[in-house]
Amino acid sequence: MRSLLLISIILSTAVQAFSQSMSCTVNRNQVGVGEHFKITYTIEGQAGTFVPPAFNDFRVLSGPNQSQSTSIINGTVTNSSSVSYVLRPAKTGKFTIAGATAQINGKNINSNSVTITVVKGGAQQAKQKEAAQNKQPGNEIGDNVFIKLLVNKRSSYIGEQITATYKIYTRLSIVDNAIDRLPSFNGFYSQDIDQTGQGNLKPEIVNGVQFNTAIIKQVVLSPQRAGEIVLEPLSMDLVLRIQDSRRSRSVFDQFFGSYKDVRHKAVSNSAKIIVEKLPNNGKPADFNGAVGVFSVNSSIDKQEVKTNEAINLKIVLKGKGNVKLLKDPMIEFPPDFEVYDPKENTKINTTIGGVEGSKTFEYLIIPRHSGEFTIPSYSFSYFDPIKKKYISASTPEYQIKVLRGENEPAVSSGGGNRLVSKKDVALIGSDIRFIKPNGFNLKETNSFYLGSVLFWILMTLPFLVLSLLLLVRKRILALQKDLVGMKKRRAKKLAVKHLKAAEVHLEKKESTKFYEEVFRSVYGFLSNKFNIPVAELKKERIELELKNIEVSDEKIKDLISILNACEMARYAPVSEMSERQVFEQVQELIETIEGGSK
Amino acid sequence: MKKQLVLLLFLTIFFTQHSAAAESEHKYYYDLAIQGNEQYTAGNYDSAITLYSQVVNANISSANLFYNLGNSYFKVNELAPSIYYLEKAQKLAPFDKDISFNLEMAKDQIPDRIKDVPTPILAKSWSFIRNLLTIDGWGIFGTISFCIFILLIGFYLLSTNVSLKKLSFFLSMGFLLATILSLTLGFSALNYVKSKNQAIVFTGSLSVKSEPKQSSSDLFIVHEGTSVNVLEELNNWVRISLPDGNEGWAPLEDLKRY
Repeated sequence: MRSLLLISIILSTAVQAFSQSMSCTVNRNQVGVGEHFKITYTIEGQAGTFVPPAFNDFRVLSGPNQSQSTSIINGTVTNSSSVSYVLRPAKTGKFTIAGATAQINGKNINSNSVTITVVKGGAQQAKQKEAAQNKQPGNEIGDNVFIKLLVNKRSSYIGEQITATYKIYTRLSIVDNAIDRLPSFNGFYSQDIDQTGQGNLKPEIVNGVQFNTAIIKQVVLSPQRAGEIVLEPLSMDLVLRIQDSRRSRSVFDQFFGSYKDVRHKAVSNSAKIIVEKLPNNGKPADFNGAVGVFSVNSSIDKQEVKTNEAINLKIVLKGKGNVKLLKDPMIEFPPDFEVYDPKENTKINTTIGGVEGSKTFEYLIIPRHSGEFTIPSYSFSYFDPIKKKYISASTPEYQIKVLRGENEPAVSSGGGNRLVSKKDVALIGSDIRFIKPNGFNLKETNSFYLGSVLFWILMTLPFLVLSLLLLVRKRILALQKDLVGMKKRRAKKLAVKHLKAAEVHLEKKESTKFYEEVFRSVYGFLSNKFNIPVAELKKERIELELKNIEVSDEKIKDLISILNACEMARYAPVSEMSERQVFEQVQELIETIEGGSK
Repeated sequence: MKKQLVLLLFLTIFFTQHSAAAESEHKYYYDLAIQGNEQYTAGNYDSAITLYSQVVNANISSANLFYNLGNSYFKVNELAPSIYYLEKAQKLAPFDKDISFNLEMAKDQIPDRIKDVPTPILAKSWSFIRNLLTIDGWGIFGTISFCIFILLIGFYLLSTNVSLKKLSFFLSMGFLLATILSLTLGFSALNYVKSKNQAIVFTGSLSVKSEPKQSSSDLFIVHEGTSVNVLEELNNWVRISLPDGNEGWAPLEDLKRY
């Protein structure tokens, strides 16, 4: 860029093209009384009539001097003409020369006006003298070459775009230039504006004096923090070729003029930017720092797919602002979707007006399972610095219908490679086993033997049978008990019967038979009475049983002696007591035992 | 006692008649199932499904029928109902190798691989013992051993021989224990079958929520064919748990309990 600037400065000398315009320039705007200066009107396009202003306070020394030029560049014809006058002021003061009027291509066009300050004495002569004495033409150079920093706004919000331009103004030819120090733009996010093709010098009139200007650097800045931020100056080392004011030594110099190269450091001014914070009220929750004017668009290629088919979702953020700093949209996809990281495509155009462009996010979505799903709407919020408020733009919601793929298994395994697991490969060669051809044990659902009525009957039945059995047994036992009682009741009767028989034998004096009957009578009675078989009826047992029913010892002794007598009588006649006595005693004893046992 | 006998006779007649009526009804469905088999063999799985389903929808269950229906669904790539019916079949016939094999096969096709938390050895052996016999097997076993117990108790009470008494008493106690055990196992199995405390996911992908409402946050996702445990039901929502211990709520309509 530097070389381009250099070349263009050397090449261009005077006339620059404006289309259909007229400008007025003076070679200086401070003159002394008696000095002269030149005023030039440059007309772009085919000039018709030219009406100069009235030079009331000046004397016209020469003019109008006309010149005309025609240039053909790439087949385009441009005409330009200029009219110049040499004037001399008559008195001191500040004078304004009104603009001239010219008719160009049938239109009346006015030029700008110029203010001339006329001072006493020769200003230029004095200056020249001074310059000659000091041999340092710094002041004069500073007036003729300088760098200006221009910003399009002095206050902004964080993130809002500011355009800053460093521009060089020169009336001298620059032999060499080098940038000494570039500003660092601390506190800003900066993007250079491309200067390619804009390196040509452009004439610009400052205070009526024509300068050649070139843009050194132009950036779009986004402040990153609040507060006062200073834009640093840019400084440049220049080598300028100026006319040597000293007297020339040679004829050659006199003919061509003598020049010298002077080094000069040009420093631009600095600028202060007041940066405001973004307002907090009304800030949307999803605000992500985007400042500018944006729009959001989305498109989807299909809304009804089969499983494992890809869907493309495109989201385009477009607008004026810091497009590069826009973050990825956070879309909550259904969790069962396989979503790949979006493909980003950023198109940015940086111009004096700021950065504008678009950022495209392309999502590749693969639904792995069938069903109906919703891709929620994506809401994008930004701050509009012109309207000074937050604005939200959102994309529509998409309903996705996922059908089961034809040759897919009912549910495919998610996550790519799991499809080819070892188990599944083995499965290709095998199949489920064949159905069961018969053996349907058809039953009503949930009807089981366990817990059914039949079950409970079968569980209670044995119980009933057992209790029945026990009941029968009890009855039999009771009956048996009755038999004993009957024997007891019949004991005396039997005994009396035996005694009656004994009495018959007593009458007949059959002693042995008498004792036999008595013995039978007593034993039978006792046996029935105590329910003891005769075989087990020993004398000790009799004694025991009789004692149990509280028969007196005397009576027991009597009974035992009678029994002994009965036994003895079988073998020998009894002499101790008569048979009659025995008979009566037995009768008495039976009565006693009968009574005692009751 | 005469009254009791009459009642018993009446009940016996009632049951034989009842089962006879059921028998003729079952004959019709049995033929349907056989027709289903023919369709399956011919490769017409859809019509086999229709025929089997007619039987199943008549509130009839049979392990083999469920197995055949599950197989048919597997053949037409409907994994969720396939697993559902195979699981039902396995519940009725826990030791059938074919059912286990096909169920395993069907489960291999579903995407969710849920890490099984090993079941405690006690619970494992309990279900193993419980599955040794079918529900009715336990019922019959219990009835028989109870009859023997009663017989022995009768013997014990009526016998006069001391050593016989002793023997029959100890034997009867053994059979009483056997009765209690088999009935406990049987009722436990019955409860397991009747409780329907398991379910199969029938939608492609089911988001399990933290609360029984649609707006609550998603906890995890299960896919079609996954078997889950049902813990409770509330307003058409069920609280489910996975074998790995995760729990959450899901709408009842997305699941089928078995």
